[in-house]
Amino acid sequence: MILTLIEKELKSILSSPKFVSVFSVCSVLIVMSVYIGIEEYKTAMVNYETVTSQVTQQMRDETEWNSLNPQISRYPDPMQIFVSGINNDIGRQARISDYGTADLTNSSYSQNMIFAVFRSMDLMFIVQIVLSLFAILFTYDAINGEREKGTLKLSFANPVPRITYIISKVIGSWLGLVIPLLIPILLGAALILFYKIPMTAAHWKQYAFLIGLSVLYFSFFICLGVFFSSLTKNSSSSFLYLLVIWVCLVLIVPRAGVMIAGQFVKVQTASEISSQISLKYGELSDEYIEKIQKYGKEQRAGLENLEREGITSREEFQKRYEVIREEYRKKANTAEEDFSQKLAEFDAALKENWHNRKAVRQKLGFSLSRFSPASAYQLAAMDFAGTGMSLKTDYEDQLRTYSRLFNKFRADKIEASGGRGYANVFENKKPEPLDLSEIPEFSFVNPELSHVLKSTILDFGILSFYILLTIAGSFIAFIRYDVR
Amino acid sequence: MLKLIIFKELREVIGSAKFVATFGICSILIILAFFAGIKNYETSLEEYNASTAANLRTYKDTTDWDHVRDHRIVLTPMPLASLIIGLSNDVPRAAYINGRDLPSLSTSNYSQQPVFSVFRFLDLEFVFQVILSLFAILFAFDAINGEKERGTLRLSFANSLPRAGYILGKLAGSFLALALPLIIPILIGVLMVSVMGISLTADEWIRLGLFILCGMLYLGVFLTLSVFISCLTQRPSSSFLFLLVIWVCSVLIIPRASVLIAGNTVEVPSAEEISVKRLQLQRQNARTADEKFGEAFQQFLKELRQGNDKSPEFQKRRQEELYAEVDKLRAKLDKDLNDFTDRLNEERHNKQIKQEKLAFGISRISPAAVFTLAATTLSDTSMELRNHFMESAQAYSKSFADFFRDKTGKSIDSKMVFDMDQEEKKKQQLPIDINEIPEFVYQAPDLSTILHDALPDIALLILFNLVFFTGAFTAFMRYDLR
Amino acid sequence: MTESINAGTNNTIVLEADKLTKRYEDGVLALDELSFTIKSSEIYAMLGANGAGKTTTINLFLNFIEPTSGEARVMGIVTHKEPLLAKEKLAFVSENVMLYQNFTAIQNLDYFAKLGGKKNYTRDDYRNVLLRVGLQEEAHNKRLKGFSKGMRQKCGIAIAILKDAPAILLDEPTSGLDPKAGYEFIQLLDNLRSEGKSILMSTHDIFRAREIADTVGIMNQGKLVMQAGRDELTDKDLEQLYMKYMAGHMEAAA
Repeated sequence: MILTLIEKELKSILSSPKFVSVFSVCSVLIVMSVYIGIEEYKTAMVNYETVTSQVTQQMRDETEWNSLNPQISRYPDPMQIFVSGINNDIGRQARISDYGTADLTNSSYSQNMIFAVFRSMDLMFIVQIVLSLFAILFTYDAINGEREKGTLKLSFANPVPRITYIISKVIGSWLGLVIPLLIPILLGAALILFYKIPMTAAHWKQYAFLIGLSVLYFSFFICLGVFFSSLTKNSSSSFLYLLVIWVCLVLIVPRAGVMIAGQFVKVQTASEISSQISLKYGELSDEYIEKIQKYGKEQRAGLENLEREGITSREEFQKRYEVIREEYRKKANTAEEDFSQKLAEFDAALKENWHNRKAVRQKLGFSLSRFSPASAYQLAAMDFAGTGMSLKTDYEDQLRTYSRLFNKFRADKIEASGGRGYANVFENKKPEPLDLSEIPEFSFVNPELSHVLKSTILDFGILSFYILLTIAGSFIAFIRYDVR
Repeated sequence: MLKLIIFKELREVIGSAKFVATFGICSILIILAFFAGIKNYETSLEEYNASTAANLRTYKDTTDWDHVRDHRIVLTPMPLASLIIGLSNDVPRAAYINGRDLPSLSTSNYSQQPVFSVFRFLDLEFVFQVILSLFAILFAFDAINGEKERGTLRLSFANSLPRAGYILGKLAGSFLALALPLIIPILIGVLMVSVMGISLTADEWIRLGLFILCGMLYLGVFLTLSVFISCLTQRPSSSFLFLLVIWVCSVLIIPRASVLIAGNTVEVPSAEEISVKRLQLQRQNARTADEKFGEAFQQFLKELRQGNDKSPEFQKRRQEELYAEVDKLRAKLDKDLNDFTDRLNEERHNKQIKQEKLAFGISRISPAAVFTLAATTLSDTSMELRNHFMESAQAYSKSFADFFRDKTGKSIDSKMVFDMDQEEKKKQQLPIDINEIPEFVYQAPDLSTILHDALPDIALLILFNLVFFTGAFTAFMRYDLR
Repeated sequence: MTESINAGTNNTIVLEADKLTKRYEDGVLALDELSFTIKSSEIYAMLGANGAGKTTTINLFLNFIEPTSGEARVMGIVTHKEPLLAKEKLAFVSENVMLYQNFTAIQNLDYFAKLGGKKNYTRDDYRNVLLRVGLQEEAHNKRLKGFSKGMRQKCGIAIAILKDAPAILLDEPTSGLDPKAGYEFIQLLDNLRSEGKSILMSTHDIFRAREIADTVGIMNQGKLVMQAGRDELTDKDLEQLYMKYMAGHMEAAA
């Protein structure tokens, strides 16, 4: 019985002319999105290589460790082909500075504004927007359409339990819509292989999860369509409802959520933060200079005293002199340490507070937008592709660690080369090039898959919850459905 | 007769339950978009005030104008840009100016706060683009074939009714039925703008009005298109499917695809590539100049040792001569460098324009893209915003250099004098009044420029209307009424 | 007409309405204590104006709606208590069915036959039954999209025949059929009767009803106002009776 029903469902979906046209549009879009992604990735790769090779060349020309300020470029990750996420919005380059901060600058969108006008069209976008609509188009009349055709009455003139009917309806539509879509998705994967995109096993695993997630999201809209078609009598009204819901879930709620959070949680801008820091710097340095001047005066007074005392023994004088000098040096050092410690503390506290507020805003915004499965899907997809919000924070964290490492390395080198080794043009001596092979390498470490899975579990949960909800809803609605 | 049909159409649309529901949602969204825009403006104004104050605070205790050489300026928030966000979050918001070099633009809002870039904003332009088009389709997809299916078409034409009159009445009636009610939430929104204390200049009012006009034209495009398609198809279900596919393509696919296609066709060298090349040449030049200087210096020493004329006057002259040669070389190298980068930048700029033309040319197949381009041009949040900001910042940089000269009597190019003894004295002086620093106010291009830029797109929207209108008209003239 | 001479089965009661009453949620009394019995090899025709309760009766037999009181029984099975069991004994032809537009006639038949639990039919069986209901062979493998109302109706009848159930319910089966097809349909019903089927049909067609039915019931406002055997009626009688009962009832109501 159930097989007959599923078979019929499959046949009726696959044989409809609507299916042929809509399916081919979707397939073309999916394959196109992957192709475009590959092209973008290749461009990003070329860009990366030109910039890094020129940076290396430039570093080779350097003769002083002191003037070595390497610039790190973000290495393009193949997963951006499928989900561009915030990849184009955040910076691609970072200069390692002496101060240990390294911010990503030069975002792709701010450099090539034209791509920001309409934004990109990746696989995630196609699934999120087009395929969800596709699912609705084929399920909005699942039940009430049969009623309109009179086949529902005819079917139920036979000994068919309602629960069997609705289960096979859901399964049949699911199979009929999901399986054909695997073709373009596999074609996309074939494109990746054809263009020899360096996808590692980990990448493929991520890709598989991404596809699984997409199927889950797509299933939600299938179930939603069945639910509304068993809730209403006419297919035209169920379609209207579904379209309104689609617009809200896919286009409105995600945007509204983050905007509302932005209204409620105010976060200072980066320039305010940096100005607060520079203000504090000024304050502390004034304090420091005052102290140093005071100690200097003390030292001078001490030395004058020493002279007045009229010590005759040269050794004795030297000893007393050294004591005064040492005292000054100690005090000056403490003042300096005090200064840098205070500044660091202030900086840390301010930034932590800032990051916390940002995190609160992000959490609130994303929680609100997660009312819509479309946002849950997008957030999880970005996490899988490593182009989510954590890309910026993780990258900058790792850059900071690296810049500390690098600065230490450079300081060691400078010291080893005997303090300052400014090549002197007056000596007319050719300066030696630096040995760059020892420079610590920076390579970004993607978060582990298990970690990503943990962070996306909420989104999987949300999607599954919505699916269960709509399935339960369709069961209940259909059990009481008036088949006449 | 025409009046009768128009009134029937109005009554039919406005009386339907579908209309009440969808109109309610549309109104809420439009009012929400206005509200969000206003709030957004207030927020960005706060942020702007905070960051300009913060930027100036750096010089709070400074007592010497000589130290005030560079600072950051921030793009002034514009009320229209908050309503129609466009690219304003992708354009760098702040610039670092020092009166000498080109202002260097800092990072954009989205790259600073990517949380907003994840889903982007819900602004008036987006609401109009998505909602108005869907609204039009929902109410006009069965304009003709639905009447046929219900049998009312045959019934109507059983009377002595000219076809032209019927289709005109149909189009006019459904446009009025959709556009007139939408005026209400739009007016409420506009009212909110003025009530909530946001002052628009006369120019801005005109631009906002033009934007709303564009919205109505855009509504008209989808309305005439829907009627057209409903004349071409037999059943409302197929015309709806068709229209939905067109909608998805024109709102979501074509704009994005066109830019990506153009991006693949026209390769534009990246800015960082150019800056790295520039840096490379600069270093090479510096080395050449240093070598030359070294040579000159050695030459001078040699002459000094062997020289016959030991008079200090001669030595000084000789030194100056030698150094002048180095300076000449430096100047030449600098000029070469500038020429080189100018050439690269110009090449890049030309390619960019080519790419832009191609991308927007293709995207203009889609009325939604045309609407977006017109709307962002009107609100000055289009691609041009970056250039406008840059020009404004450059002009400001120049006026700041003049200000510096007035205050210190020196050129801003001169070296900063730092004398420890002087510093102590300066400490005693009164701090400078930082408010004297000229304020940076972003000058939006004037109305005529904006109109000039927006006019082609507005004309295109009108053209779309005409084409689909004619299409609907001729299709209905040959329509099979049975 | 060769009435019940070759009726193979004994005259057991197959369809039975027992004080069947249906009051809708909005308070409309659609059926008021309707009772009748239909034996095997018997055709019962329900006549009546729109809204008289004919379709409601059929819906109650199919358990599409539940009775307010009373019972509808199929071979002794109470339909609203054991609907699945009852539906095994029922075949149904609805008025103006669209069927699956993208399926061919044969595919539609195949699906519904399997749904009725008949899994062993071959293509020949489908061909034969379609020919039997008068659908030309060239239409068998065409999609239903281009079919006329009559052709679809023939498919619907074929579906009911294929189910081979003891009872057949027909809701306005002749609507949409041209006169020739209508005549063929009457022949078909006669055949089915001789196979022992028990048939309940609702119809507006007084003359066809008179021609084929063993018993005719006239319904008005949910009540069976007249029931007569074929022997008691002539063509003219029935029309007059119909008008009389309709008018009489209206007078009574007024």
